[in-house]
Amino acid sequence: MADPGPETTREHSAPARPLIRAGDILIVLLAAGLVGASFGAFWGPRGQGEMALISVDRQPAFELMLDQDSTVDIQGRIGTSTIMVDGGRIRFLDSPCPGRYCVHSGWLQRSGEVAACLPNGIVVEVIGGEREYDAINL
Amino acid sequence: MRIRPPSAVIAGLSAALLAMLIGGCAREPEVGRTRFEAMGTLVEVTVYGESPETTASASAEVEALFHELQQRWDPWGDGELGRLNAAAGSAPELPVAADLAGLFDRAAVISRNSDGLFDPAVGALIRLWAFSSEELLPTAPPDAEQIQQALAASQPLYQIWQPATRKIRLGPGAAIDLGGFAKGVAVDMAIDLLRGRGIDHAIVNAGGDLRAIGRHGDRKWRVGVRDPRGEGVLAAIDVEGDESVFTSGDYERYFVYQGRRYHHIIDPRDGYPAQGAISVTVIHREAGVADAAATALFVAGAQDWPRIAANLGISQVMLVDSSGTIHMTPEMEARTWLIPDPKPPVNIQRLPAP
Amino acid sequence: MSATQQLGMEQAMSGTHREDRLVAGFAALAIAIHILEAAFPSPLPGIKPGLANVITLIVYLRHGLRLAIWVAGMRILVGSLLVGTFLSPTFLLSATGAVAAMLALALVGTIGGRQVGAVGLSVVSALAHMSGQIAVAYLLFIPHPALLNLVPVLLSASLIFGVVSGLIAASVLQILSRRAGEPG
Repeated sequence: MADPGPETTREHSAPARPLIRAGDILIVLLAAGLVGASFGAFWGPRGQGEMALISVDRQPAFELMLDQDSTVDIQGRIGTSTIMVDGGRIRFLDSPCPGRYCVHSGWLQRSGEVAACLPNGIVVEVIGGEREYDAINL
Repeated sequence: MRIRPPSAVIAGLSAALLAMLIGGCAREPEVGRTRFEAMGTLVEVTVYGESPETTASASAEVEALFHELQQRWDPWGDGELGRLNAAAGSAPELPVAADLAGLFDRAAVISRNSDGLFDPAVGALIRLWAFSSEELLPTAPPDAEQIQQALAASQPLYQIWQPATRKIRLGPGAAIDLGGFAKGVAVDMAIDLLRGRGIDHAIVNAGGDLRAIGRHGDRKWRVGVRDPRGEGVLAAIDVEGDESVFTSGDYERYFVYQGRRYHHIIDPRDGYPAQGAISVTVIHREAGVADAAATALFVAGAQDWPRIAANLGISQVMLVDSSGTIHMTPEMEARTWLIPDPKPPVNIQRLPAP
Repeated sequence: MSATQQLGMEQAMSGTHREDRLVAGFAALAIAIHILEAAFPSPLPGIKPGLANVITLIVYLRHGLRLAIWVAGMRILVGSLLVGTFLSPTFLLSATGAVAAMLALALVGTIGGRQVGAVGLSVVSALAHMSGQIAVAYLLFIPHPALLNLVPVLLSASLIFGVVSGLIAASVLQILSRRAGEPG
């Protein structure tokens, strides 16, 4: 490397260079917060629905919040269906239909999941939250 | 040599990347979903990228189509198929109307290629098991004698159907039941209807079995296959273009009698629910073929399915056997993302030459 | 032309030459690191921590944005040509990561000015690099469930890596500036 020489001695008005500066600490704190938030965003049960929409005879009837445990009886076309909410999930507990396929559908939790008692005209659909699947094949 | 970076290029690229990132973060446009009851199940029509009016009116047309087909193809109603079944045995050969004949043509081919494992001509047997009925209570298996009678009265469709003359040799006590095919064909017709209305991105989902066209905006349609024994998702499949995903499972319609599970997929060979698998998923373009194939492969079971799949021209199959092992063709494995952790045992099976 | 002017011109030219050689040297170093990194396995195909970004950072802090972009561009192009991934999915991933890191560097460096040093810039650059790769992978390559589960882990790793490499870069910069006779 050639020697600068007297004519080209550089003027330095730059201050001392500390290893870590105030802005650095701020950035690291912000970044840590962001990364921490990503755990919450990506590690929770994904696609978790927030509530369930209950329809009777093709008409939306009422909503049940999934974060509140409850058991509800609903009058349908041929009798009473019992719906249960427990631990963020919902299901048909009992139904007067012959096949009880609605009960067989089990617990619903993801946004978009549906169970229906067709003979009784009752449909339970989980909504809200981020919908992970466009359709569930079964 | 002076190095002068082309800063204009860099600036342009940066702007482009920024624009992409911002665009990607924008909220998705609404997807329109309509649901109605038909063919004994919930049908859901999902449309992407159309106005609410277009979506609503197209979905209404799809609903009307399903109701019409249901009435026409009800094996025991007063539509075309019902009247045909009612006339069974009244003549050595019965004429069949044009559109039913077209259905029989296609079903007969699939029936033959599946060695009769898919057979719409065992309608009498299906009726015994009463899974489709809303009034009868399937809580116990039918009498063995009744099952034998129903089997004796039935002959495979490809043997009794005459494509050339459009006549069928439907003997007394025999009946045609298009369940396991009709739903798929209805889905195909619904998709054609949507396409005819200029809709290119949609899903028609009949009770969980679906055909999807186009994509969900800038991502593919996401389909989850339900775990046959749990309530979560077993596999995630991204679908686009024009594909049908059909699953036959022993957990959809069943009853338990004396500790044994009796489900609705009857093996036409012995008249009892097929035991070789607990779920089969098929991906294929046409929904009718996918529907019939899923049924046939379920009956074929964990041992025989590759041969039948090859003969049916199906290349993407996922079969879960009673031990929980997942059998897949390489093509299916390439596009399927298994969800459970730890991963269940997987067996990749190449298909033989047809 | 006077002797002084001539001497001045020569000095200017040799200063430029020196700068070119330095940049070329940095670029070569960055390329070497890029190749090394390509040899290491990673949890998801193609997604890398971006070790070579440290070089970019040092060049940025010593020689400015323009030359940093140049070094980064050389690293991506030549590195991928040498490794054989040019225009492959891996290339797209590392290019996006580098561009994102560059953008973040320029943005935060300009706004932060002297308040922000190598550590802060390195953290921002590393997170941008990883986020860029994740975005491309999510949109183009990898089915969603597995990737989304790994995002927090990847981001944590990037944060830690950013801090560590930032400290290393800051130390290197201190040494370099002492060598050149600058105060501090």
